Amino acid sequence: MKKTLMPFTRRDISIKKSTSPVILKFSAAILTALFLIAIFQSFLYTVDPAFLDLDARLLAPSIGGPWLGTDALGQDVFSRVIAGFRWSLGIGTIGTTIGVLIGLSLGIGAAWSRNRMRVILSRIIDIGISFPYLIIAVTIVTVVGRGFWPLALTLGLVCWPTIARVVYAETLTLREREFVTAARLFGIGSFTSIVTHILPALRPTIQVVTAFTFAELLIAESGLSFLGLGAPLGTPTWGNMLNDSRTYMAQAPWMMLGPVVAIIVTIFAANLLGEGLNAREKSKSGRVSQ
Amino acid sequence: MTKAIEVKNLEVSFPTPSGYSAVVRGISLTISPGERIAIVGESGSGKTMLGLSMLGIQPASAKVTGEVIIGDVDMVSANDATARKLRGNYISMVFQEPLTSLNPVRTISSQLTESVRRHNKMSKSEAEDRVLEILTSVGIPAPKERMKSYPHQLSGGLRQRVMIALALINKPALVVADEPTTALDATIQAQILDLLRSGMGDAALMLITHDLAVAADVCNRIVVMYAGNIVEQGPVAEILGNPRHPYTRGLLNAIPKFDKARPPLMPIPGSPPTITEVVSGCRFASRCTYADSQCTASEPKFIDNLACFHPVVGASK
Amino acid sequence: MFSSSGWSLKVSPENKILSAVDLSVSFKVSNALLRAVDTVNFYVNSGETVAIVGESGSGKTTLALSLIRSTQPTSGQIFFEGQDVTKLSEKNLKPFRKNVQMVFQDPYSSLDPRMNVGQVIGEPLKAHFKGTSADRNERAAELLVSVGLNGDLLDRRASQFSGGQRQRIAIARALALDPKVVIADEPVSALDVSTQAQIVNLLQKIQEERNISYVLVSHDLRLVYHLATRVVVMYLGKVVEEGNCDDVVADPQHPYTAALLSAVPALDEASRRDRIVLNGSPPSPIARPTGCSFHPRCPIARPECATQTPELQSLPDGRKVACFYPGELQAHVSFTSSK
Repeated sequence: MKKTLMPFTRRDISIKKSTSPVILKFSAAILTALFLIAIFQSFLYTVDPAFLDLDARLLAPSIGGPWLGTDALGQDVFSRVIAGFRWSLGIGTIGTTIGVLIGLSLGIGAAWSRNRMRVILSRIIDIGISFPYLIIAVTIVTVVGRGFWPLALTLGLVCWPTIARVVYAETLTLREREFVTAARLFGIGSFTSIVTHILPALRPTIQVVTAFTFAELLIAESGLSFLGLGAPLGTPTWGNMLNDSRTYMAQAPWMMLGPVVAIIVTIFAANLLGEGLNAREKSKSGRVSQ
Repeated sequence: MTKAIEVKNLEVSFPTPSGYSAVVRGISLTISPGERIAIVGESGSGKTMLGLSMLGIQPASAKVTGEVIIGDVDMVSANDATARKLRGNYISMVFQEPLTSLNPVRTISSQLTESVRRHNKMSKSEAEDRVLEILTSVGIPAPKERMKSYPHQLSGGLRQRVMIALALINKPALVVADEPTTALDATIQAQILDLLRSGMGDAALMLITHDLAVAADVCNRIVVMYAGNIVEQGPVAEILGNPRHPYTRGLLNAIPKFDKARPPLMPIPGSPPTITEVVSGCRFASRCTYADSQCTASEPKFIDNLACFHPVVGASK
Repeated sequence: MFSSSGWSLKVSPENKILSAVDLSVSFKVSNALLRAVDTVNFYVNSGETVAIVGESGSGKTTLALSLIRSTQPTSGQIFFEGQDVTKLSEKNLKPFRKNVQMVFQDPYSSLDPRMNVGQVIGEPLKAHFKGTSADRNERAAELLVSVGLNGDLLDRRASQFSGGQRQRIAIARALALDPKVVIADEPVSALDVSTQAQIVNLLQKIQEERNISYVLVSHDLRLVYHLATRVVVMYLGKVVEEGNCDDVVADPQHPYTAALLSAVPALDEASRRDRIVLNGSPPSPIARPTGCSFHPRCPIARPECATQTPELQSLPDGRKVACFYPGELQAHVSFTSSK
């Protein structure tokens, strides 16, 4: 889809504009809309999501009545889906932030250190990658219980190793670049070097990784709630709603519809954002010939 | 192959935001059998693209017009099948970095025999005899044992000899060598230059290089390219002793020499035009000390081996 | 002792500003010991240009990197202005770092492409001097002008410049701290011929203005001849010849030097005819030949060269050679003379 020219001199040749800016803007717009929904959720409820009406259980969706029907407790599915935004997006954001912070620190730390320290740190990352995430989830639920922050912590602890691995690999290459050696030869210390050279160079990768991790964590949250390891029963999260809808799949298939669509749209937008950022970075680096 | 190789009005252009822009701008050239010519130019001169398009292996996005006539076939308009019959057979190429041009997972012998058997009806043992013969002629020591090695087991110089062997094995009419010694150490470069000078057999050599000294060392004719055009060409002695184009002169003056007085180097100010830059008149005018209004008004045609309105007279320093 | 025909140098003899004594640098490579630099003595005087030449495996780049304490020497000492700086910690090395700077070969990777020119040149200033960014920008603009670029270019990103311009920026950056010694590792080999000449002239101008010493690592003997007063020839980690450029090029004493000179692509017929061609390729520093490390490739090797190692001897005219038969192999270098 994107055409790249072979650069024939060491000068920049501008490449035909690819479609990536459109993708970027589109996905950023969707995500912004989703976050706005999360913030202004109370204005979007048709009905209070916590309102139970046992006489109105398992109603089918209709224009006049509940837009997405009601669930087994008579709660309005549409409003619950809206309520789920804050939870899901919130968990995704905080979990990703925790993961990125740990991943960045360990990744850069491992790549920057020498000999034994590097071996130790990179082994820790390797162990992290192979560590089964369910064990983390179960441990935290057992120790701290279920809730927003335990879940966010779990997700953060599950996603940092992949981030660390990417950061480690890239920092290793960056470290060999001559401008980093040059900085050392001016008498510039490690910390300053990392802040001035490594972090800005890592920024595009971190952006891409963050977008994809966010999408993954949403799925993970749904999965964990589905398994009963995530949000407490009754909390309007998409994972919980999927879980509830399982029993009633034959009678009330619409119970699944709302949360599924919400998850798909959010993940789609996040992935698209990641792709767009990736494409933008590739097109930038394609300009200058090696 | 006893006919000359003819390049007629070859133009190679690439798509840019403002339409197609030519990297090689209508070049015509004749290479006589057994001749060694050097295409000398800096980055942006189009010399590499010239070589690639003569073999028909230019990038897919490039548009090529004109003719490259090898024997009776025009490479530019030939279909894939015809082109493949010619490549490696009548015209072959030696690249700068042999480590990336040789297949790392196949032995030298298998790569060479593959080439020879593709273009000639030969049994395996006949092919291996031919491989042995060519490896010996390019100066590879203990060729019988070396044949079985993989590229990474050989040193840089030996790998380059293998590349040259691969280029020569089917007795081509022309070998195009693109900066074949740039990645090599000085003493190895000397060996390869000697090989290129005297080991080509009946094949003609087109040596693409940025180094005038390398060109003078190996070839008998020098073609100077600048920003897509040929600006001057002639026998080595003429070009070095009596360069007529200001660019050629500039190149010579910019090279440090073994001169006890250490005269200061005279760089050519400025830099070549980029691919998208539109230049009216002579493309070298903006950097030329002899340029005047005639030079910016129209582009000088290539007549009598020179493209210049104000050729410089007199021997170079 | 120094030939200065046509030059204006302010070389102070016996004022060794940077020197290495019995320097060795070895690396462990999967159970084998790689001696990249083997007991080398090196010095550069104030205001002088010394060139280190050699092919792959010679150790010339490792030597240059250890002189600037980028690579840690395994044994031996490095002196700067008389002080032993071999084992100083980074904290104590700051005055040394201020005075000894480096220009790298590849202008595309020696500048951070994300930074703008002002930040690139200002980086060393930031590390050594307190001051506002306005101060640093002012100084950066001055430096840009001194290397032939426009002082307004401070806001442009490094990635927007051509190779030659980037190398100028790299030189401006190296000069920011007003160093006394600049180590240049193949400073022009990645550039076009016409740009090379521009940068070479710039380097000379800077040396005349500031009386800087250069340590030039290069494979281009013509460039070395043009720029350097003294040349050190290295082979497989050892110095095999050392002396004035004029003398070494006109009358090489070591057969390897003769071969290197003979290998320079000839602009004329005569040099080419008598070319000395060596067998084989530069050996790997891990598998060293016995005796004289050059003997397997040497055209004049005798039986004893395989068993005994020649030491670096001083000749009456100040030249140093490590060979049992110095001066026997001649190279025919054609000198031009300008009118």
